[in-house]
Formats: sequence, structure tokens, C-alpha cells
Amino acid sequence: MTSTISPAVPLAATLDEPVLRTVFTAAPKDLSVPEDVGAIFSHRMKSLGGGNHGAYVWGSVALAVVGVILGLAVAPGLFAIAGIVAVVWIVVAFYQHSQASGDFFSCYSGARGLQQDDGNINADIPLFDKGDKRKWDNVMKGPVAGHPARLGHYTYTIVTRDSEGNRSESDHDFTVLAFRLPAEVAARFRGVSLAPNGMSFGKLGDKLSSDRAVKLESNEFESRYNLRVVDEQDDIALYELFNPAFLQHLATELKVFWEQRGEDLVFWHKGHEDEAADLDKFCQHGAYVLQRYLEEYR
Amino acid sequence: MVAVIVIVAIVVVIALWAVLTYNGLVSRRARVDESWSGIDVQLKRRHDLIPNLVETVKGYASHEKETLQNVIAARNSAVAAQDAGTPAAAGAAEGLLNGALRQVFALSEAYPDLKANQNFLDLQGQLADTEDKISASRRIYNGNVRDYNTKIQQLPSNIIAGIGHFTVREFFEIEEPSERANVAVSFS
Repeated sequence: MTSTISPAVPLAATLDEPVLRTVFTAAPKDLSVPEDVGAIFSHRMKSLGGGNHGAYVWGSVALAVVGVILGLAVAPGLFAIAGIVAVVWIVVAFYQHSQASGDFFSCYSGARGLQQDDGNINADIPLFDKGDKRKWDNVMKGPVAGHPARLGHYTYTIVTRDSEGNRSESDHDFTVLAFRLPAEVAARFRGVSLAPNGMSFGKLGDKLSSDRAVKLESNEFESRYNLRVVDEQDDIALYELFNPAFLQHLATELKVFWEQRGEDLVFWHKGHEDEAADLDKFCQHGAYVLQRYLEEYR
Repeated sequence: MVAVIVIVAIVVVIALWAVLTYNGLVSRRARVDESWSGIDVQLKRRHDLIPNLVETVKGYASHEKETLQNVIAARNSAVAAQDAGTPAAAGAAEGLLNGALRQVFALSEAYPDLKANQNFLDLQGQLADTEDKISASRRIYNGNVRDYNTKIQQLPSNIIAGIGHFTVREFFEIEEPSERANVAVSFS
């Protein structure tokens, strides 16, 4: 990746076509995508219920609902039958939702000039070291703001056991957008993390973290964010990156969190985004911050 | 016996707090000094670029003596103020130097050959870069001063600050006299 910016991504509130094309530089002529996974899921379920199958499908759904209610009160046998029908419908719904998710990301990647990829998003950042298990879904790769990027869903799982040996798992979901910075830019920015205020990825917080906290001049910024850098980070480069105009944007228009270690710059958002508008905004904000990094290269 | 233990425990806690507070103030003061030396480095770099700039301009605009003498004088005052070590003096001197440099760069508009000279362009770029770094260094220094001044004035750490003779430090501001002047607007 070169250290030039081409084209410039504006910080527009509305992502109309010209703005989208500065973010997704390889996007085809037609930028239209389904609104979200839910829209495709509804369409799939409706198509099951329509046509010649309509009467049978909706009839069996009604039977399952009525049967569960009446069966509980009157006839256990009826309840069992209704229960089986209900379970079948739940399985069908899960299957359709998973297919809808695949369809959505296939449409989204095509309409944004990205390609779906089965691999992981490899980056040497603390977030990707978390948990006992890690997995990637819906990974897409392609140019964002003219630079190679990888976008996808990341989940890390923490496995715990209680005193009786019972195992439990807790999943932590994220949507991530990863870039590789040019070596000359990474030389100035050794490690910068911007997280929501009050959030700490470390179990023991500030005291034992190898990073140090940095307080900047804006109260509004401080109320929203927690900025940490690695010990060897050059403060002059950091303050040049977070110039007053950028601080103002972060405090008001942008809501973006990232971890950067050397050449790896990864933006993250809690939860698995599955709405097109939210994914577009996430990529726009990430591209804008990437621009800042590249502008500060001297 | 219990009363003695309680009193000893209170004394130990207070002593521990006093030591930690004192060390914290020392650490903050050291950060202020360190960040001031960061500004020093950038100011020196800027001052070192100016003689080269003057020589380059002389080659094209030798008769613009007054402007060149002004910038040399401003540069020498800034060096002296930097040696004196107070932020207020350094800030005022750098403000005057900014004004003098602006006049030198304005000269290039009247001398196209100077404007196109590669050495002049390089120096202009280096000075612009240095000013960005001075601005960043100034923010770092002022941030550390803010933290330090706040800590030595807040209760209860101001008790330890008073005992340890920690004094308020000045912020570093670069102000050009022309920025404070009223702007004359004419609609004629």
C-alpha cells in the first residue's frame, strides 16, 4: 500500500453514491443491496408461505400454535404433535436465517466491489489474542478507499469452569475492518488504541497494562474515548495524528474505535453488523481515520 | 493497646499517602521538564534552518535587506529567549519570529525564480514541518503543565505541594502581536 490518499473520503453524514464510491473504489455500477439480513430472511420465509405451498405452510404453523396451547390444557398427544411441528418450523427458520445471512453478504460484497473469503483476518493486535477460542465469519476482502482491506465478523469465546467443573462459554462478537499500513507510516505509529471510555480489554485494567493512557485537550473527546499507546510511541507523531480538527471530528461526528500495532490497523465495532447502511458507515469512518494516518506520514 | 495500634495504623497510612503524593508530584514535574525539552529540540531545529533560508533568499533578493535583517534579528532574539528558559519569553520571541518569517516567504511572490528554487522549497517544507512539530510539542507540554498545576492546587495534594515547594508552571503560547490587533475592514 502506498502512503498516498486516493481518493479522499469525505466525512459526510449521508452516504450517497459519490461518497460510497470514494469508500468502495472497486464498486460496480449498481450499488443497491438489501437493507439487512432480516429483509432477505423475511423474503425467504414469505416465499415459503406463498405460491402453491401457502395453504399447507401457514396451515401447519397455525396448527402448531393452536396445538401447543390446546395440548397443554387438554390433550398431551396433541401437544406432542404440535410441539414437533413447532420444532420443525424453528429448524426451518434457523436454516433460512443462515441462508439469508449468506445471501446478504454475497450481495453486499458484490455491490461494494469486495470478494468473499474463507480465511481469517490476520493482524497482530491485542483484540485478536483474546479468549480461548476465536472464529471468523463473512470475511470479505477488497479495496476500501483505494487500499486493500479485509472486513468481517470476529468472535472470541471465553471458556470458564465453576468450582464443580461445570463448563460455560461466553461469546464476544465484533465487526472488524483491517488495513496494512506502509512500513514508513508504521515506523511513526508504533501502537495506538482508541476504545470507548471506561472499556478495557485487559483483565486488570490500567495498572498492569503495558500501554499507557494519554489524555488530550478535549473534554468531549475524553468523555467518549479511552486513548492508549504503547510505551515506545512517539508523542509528537501521536499529537500530530490527533490534531485539533481530528479531535473535534472524533468528539462529534465520528464514532470509531481501533487498535493499531505496527503495520496492522484494525477498526472494530461490538456486535456482528448485518445492516448495509451500518457496514457502509463503519467502512467510511475507518477509511477516514486511515487517511489521517497516511496524511501524517512525513 | 488497641488504641495504640489504631493510631500507628493511621500514621502509617498518612505517611504512605504523603510519600505517594510527593512522588506523584515529582513524576509530573519531571514530565513537564521532559516535554519542555521536546519543544527545545524543535525550536533549535527551526532556528538552525533560518540562516540557510536567509542565504538562499539573498541570492535572489539581495536588496530586500530590511526584511532579511528583521528575520535574523528575530531569530537571534528567539535563540536568546530559548536560552533564558521561560515559556513566556520564548513564546513571545517565537511569535515575533513567525511574523518575520511570513514576510520572508511573502518575498517569494515577487521573485518567481526564488519561488521555484529547490533549496528554497525544501527549506520552506522543513520549516512547515518543524512548525507542525512545535505545535504538537506545545500541546504535549501544555497538557503536562495542566495536569501538574491541577494536582498541586487540588486538595489534599496541595498540602504536600506546599511542603515540597512545588510551584505552578507557565503554559507555552506563541502569540503574534498582529493577531491581537483590530482588523480594519473597509467596504469602499
